[in-house]
Amino acid sequence: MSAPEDRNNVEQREIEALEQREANAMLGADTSTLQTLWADDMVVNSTANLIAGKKILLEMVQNGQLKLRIYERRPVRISVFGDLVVSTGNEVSQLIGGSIAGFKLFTSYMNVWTKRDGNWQLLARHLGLIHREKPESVQ
Amino acid sequence: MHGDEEREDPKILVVEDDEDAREAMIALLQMKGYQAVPAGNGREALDYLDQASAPDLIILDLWMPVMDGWHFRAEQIRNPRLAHIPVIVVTALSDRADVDANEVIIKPVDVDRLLTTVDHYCRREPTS
Repeated sequence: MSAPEDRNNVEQREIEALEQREANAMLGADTSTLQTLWADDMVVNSTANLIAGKKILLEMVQNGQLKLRIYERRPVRISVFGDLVVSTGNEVSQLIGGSIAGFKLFTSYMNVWTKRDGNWQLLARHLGLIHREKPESVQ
Repeated sequence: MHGDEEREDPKILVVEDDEDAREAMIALLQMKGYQAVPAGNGREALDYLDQASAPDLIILDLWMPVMDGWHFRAEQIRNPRLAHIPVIVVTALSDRADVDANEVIIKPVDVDRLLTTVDHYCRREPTS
């Protein structure tokens, strides 16, 4: 039987891979992957101070409102609490389209993953703005 | 043929100094079929209203540079051409008593509540 720390290491690696998979799905506007990785009752609080759920976010990805040129995620700490995992780190993103297109956003994030029916899903997410870098054309 | 078929999408003026918040609300409202017009503060909003046709609704932040939401609202109420336009205030202030508005929504803004309230004032059924 494996020790709790070993099991936590396995789950940490699993969540780390899922974090990258979810970030890649956002970058590629891959809504079928996001549909699987996001819990139906997911709650997201963005840097725009808007609280949104799965349905509206999928709609925004599908409609190109959340089209990204850059999306990089770096987990800093992944904490395992049984069937709940809290991942904290930072992200760099750049939107295509809209008046803030071209701005690079440096954000911190906290993602909460939950295991349901044997599968990990993103349940909650909070973003905080660290820095917004203007594109060269408007500097 | 009904006249409604030729009616333009409802127009909403979004007065918010934070660019991320303003852009996100504009994108959301446009996705839901509204015309959404941005203004970065109360002064910009009044300048827009002075020149353009009246919007169906105003979404108003309170803490803004140049002209804040309280001053904008006072100016709006003083102007007979603008006074009737409903206003949804979005604010981090938890004390709603000193805000004169049709609705107050506390930040962070619940998107579902915002869209339901917007639909109500623009007299549309909520979009799916």
